[in-house]
Amino acid sequence: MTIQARGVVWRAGGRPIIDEIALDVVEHEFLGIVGPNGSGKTSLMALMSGLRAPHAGTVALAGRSLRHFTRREIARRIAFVEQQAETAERITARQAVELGRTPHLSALSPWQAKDDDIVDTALAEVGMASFAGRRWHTLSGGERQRLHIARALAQQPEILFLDEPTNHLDIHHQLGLLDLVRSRRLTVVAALHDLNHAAMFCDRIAVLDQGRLVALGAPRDVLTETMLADVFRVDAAVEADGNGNCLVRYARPGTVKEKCLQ
Amino acid sequence: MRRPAATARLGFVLAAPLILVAALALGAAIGETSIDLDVVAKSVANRLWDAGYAVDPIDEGIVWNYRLSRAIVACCCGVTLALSGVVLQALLRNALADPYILGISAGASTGAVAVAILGFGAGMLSLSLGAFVGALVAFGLITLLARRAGSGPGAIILAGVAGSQLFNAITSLIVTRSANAEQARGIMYWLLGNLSGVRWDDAWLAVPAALLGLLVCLFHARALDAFTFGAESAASLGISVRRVQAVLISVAALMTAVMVSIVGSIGFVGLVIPHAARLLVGVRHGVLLPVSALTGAVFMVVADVVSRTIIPGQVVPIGVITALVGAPAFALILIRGRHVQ
Repeated sequence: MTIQARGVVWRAGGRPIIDEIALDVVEHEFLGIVGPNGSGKTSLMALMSGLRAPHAGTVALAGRSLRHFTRREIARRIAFVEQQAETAERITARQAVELGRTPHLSALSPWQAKDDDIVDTALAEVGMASFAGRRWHTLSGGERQRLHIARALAQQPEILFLDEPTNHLDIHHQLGLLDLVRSRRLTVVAALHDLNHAAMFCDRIAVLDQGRLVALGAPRDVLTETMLADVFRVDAAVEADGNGNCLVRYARPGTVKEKCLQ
Repeated sequence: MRRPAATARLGFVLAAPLILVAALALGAAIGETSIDLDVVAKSVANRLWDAGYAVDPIDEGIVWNYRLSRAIVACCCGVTLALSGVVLQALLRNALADPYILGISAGASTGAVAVAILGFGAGMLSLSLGAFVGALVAFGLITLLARRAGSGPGAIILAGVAGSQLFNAITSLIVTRSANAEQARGIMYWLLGNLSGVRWDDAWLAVPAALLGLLVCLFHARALDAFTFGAESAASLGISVRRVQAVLISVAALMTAVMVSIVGSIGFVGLVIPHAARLLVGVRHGVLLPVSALTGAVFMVVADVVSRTIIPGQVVPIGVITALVGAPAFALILIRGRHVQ
């Protein structure tokens, strides 16, 4: 299932936050969205997943405008994991994942054994099966994040949106989680902070700057020293390894300039 | 943790009416003159089916005309306040939300008093309608104020306090300006939350309101669950957030308004009962809503019995009893909430 954004605009306080973006998400690809703070990553994800309606332009899911879908129809196809979704409710880990079945159930179609199996599988996939009975507030940030992913998986979507999914995780779990998401036959759109993770896992990277799409393509084509300097305002060297992957090596702020001065 | 088995649910469905009937029977039996339970049963049978049991007509009159209608209204009041509390706590994601604390009851009082004294129409339905309008206006004003006051769970509670004060002041103004001394005394007593003078007419309004509220809330149980991680998360789970909020807040306002127009504003029930029910059965709304409704009903019948018997020869307004239980509970929730965060 594909998503096409055409001329999408979203404003806040009269200022365009997303400015005329056109972007196609291809079936089964892992698309990374990168950009500095405030570049519009979260807004773009919310627009493309139908959580917000654009002020201009259209977002189409499999060729049909999102406006013609009900919220429920969208939620059966698209799951969204927010940056930091918290609760003060005394729910268990399992109950948090069970929420993912919501778009598939209604007041008249009750919970079934099948739903239990889907929740069990989702918990196991993020390595949280043994935590099922634990209360939400006793879990660490990383454990909570994995449960959010499990909830999204329990939704059985075709497209998964992740907003900085690895924020609270240690490096082992960061890589593990991205690898897990990557290994599913899903279309994934993920806002990522770590450019090296983006390079490692993404098929394509979209670079946002001040609400505009400034670059789109394979990691080694997009992650260039010029782009890093222009968009992220960092000095960095980009190295290619033998497998066609690339690695960003940042320079300490000021060091390059000093060299120039010498 | 698996969901409660079907047998547990069936057990609740069977037990709930029995518990309700037992509560109603006790509500009808206990009072200044205590009446035996079998006399209560016979009186009800006489009235319902012309059973023709030999019962003292005075006892039968007390049971049927006075205590039973009162107990039924108390039940409905408990159901609606508890449901309103559950709904508001879930939608606002605030453990302290309740129609009384958020000023919805105060707004409803103002609406009802405006109708009663300034005389926009007359009769029970228009009183409830006035209360409904007042409740919605109050909630609208308070959410607007809370949004301006900034984020954080405290904002809407503070806005509710401000709103309550404002609407109570308007109510007092209307009463002092336009009511005669006798009206004023009656209204002040009613405002404290009071089941005296409740009759069958009131029950015929309260029962449908409670049943309608219960049905609408149960229909939205999953939607309420989906709000666990906030409105954005609910939307991503396929919930039409605006529609669900509009429907459920209107229903909560309607239930509160109907009860305020009958018994005045009774505080803290909507706060305490949902928390007690959560301790019993957890946070799933499919279970939490019916258990809260039942607990609220029983609690209110008991509170009414206490209010009639705690001081011999006098009836304490039921709002005083609920506040005596509710205010300390409010404090406890406040303290525990700090630990959770």
